[in-house]
Amino acid sequence: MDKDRIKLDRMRYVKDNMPSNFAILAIVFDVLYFVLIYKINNEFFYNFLIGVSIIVNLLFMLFGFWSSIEVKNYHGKFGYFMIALGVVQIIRIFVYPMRAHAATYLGPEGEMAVMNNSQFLRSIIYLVAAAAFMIVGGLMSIKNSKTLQNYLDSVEKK
Amino acid sequence: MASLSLQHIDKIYDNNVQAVYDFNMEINDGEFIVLVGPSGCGKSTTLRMVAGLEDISNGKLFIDGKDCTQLPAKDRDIAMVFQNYALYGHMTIYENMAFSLMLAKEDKYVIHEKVMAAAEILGLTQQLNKKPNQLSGGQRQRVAMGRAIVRNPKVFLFDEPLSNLDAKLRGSTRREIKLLHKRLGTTMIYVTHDQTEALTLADRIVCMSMGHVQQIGTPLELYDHPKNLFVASFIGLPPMNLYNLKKEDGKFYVEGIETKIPARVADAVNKSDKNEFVLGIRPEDIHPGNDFVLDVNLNENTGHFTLTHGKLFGKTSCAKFRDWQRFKVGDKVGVSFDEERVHLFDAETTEAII
Repeated sequence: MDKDRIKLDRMRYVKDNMPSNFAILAIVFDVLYFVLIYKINNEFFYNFLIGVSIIVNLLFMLFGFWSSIEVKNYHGKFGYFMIALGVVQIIRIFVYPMRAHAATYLGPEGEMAVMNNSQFLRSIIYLVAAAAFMIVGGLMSIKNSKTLQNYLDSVEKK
Repeated sequence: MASLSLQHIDKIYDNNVQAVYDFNMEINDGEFIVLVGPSGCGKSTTLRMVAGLEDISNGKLFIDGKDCTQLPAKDRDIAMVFQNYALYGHMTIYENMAFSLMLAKEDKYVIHEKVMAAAEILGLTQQLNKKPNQLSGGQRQRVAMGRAIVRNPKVFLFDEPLSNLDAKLRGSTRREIKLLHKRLGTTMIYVTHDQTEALTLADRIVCMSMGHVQQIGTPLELYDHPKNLFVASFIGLPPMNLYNLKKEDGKFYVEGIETKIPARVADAVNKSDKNEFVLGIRPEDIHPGNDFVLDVNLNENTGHFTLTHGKLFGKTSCAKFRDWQRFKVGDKVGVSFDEERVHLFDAETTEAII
């Protein structure tokens, strides 16, 4: 058996770990993001949006973890789901970080940004990383599951 | 494949209990050796010493001419299959079989080829994505064998691998092991207390008792020419009937009853300077006839043969008759036995005379 065929055949018995691990990494970056946001003690965040944010984080972790389990078994549909979760993370950049970085409040040293440059940069990095891992993991899962399906179809035809 | 040489091997535990005494044997390339004996006879201990799981107290072990006495188990290139399978429950069958190669950092494509080849041999291809708890006992044991096969070891060791299986599965798995040996041609050492396994699988059998080797030989040698009373009574199912034989004033007494004994036995007794012997007759060598009377007290029909238990020479005996015999308790059945197949042992040394 040539190496390419072995690679395909091996997929029948070996779990698709890479996309799964990417989903877990995305969750880790999401956690880093919300820890950063919730540490900022400012009235700017004291509205209903913080509740929505908490729910979004919980759902992201729940569905992210669920996807990580499913893509392991080459369930390609969950790859699309992961891409959607990645897109959500991109959108979230515009919900808090962008607005909080632009907003100011009157602090002891005069007018200050709700989210300073360092916090802003970190929050962007966390969200982009979470999104990137989800999207790349999702694409990999879709590709791998299709490759496996095509191989199984070809085996069945034989 | 590998040859093994076990030279004067002893096993003495820290509490000074000696489990194996002076074990000597040369095992040839590709040979199937079965160590057989009752529980506690030292057969598993010997196997574990070969595997490197027990230290060898005295003596030398050579594998392919290399002294492996002090070599750690991992460096001996030996694979062992255990009675309890020892599979990882959280891993699939594929992962279980691939695990040892993954630990050895073998190339993943090579691992795949080896696992698939072993699965093909063992008929496990359809089970590779399952977990061990989804398989039957026989299939689990095949996985354990597959895990050994993928390593392509020099020697396979089996420690009572069929003991956890039911009778039917034991028979089929036993045949699979025999076929596997024919296919792989690898040296195999197999431990069992089941003489049927020993007789059907072995190229040579090592019969052990109380840590001592009693006899080494082919299954037929052990069956037809047992070296002593222990081997005679251990090999064969039902076991050999044994009777005390005395010579007094030129007359022969079997269990105290004056009896005419076969000329071949009489010659051997007359040549001996001893007077007390043990006469051995296998149940299958007793057949309907007119020489002696078997006083029936139990009849067991199995379909193609009948085991009839009763008193012969006043001693509880067993005869194995062909076909379905309709004897009743209390029946007196005339029997004879094949003179050429009667065994004679020295009562004192228990060694075989004929």
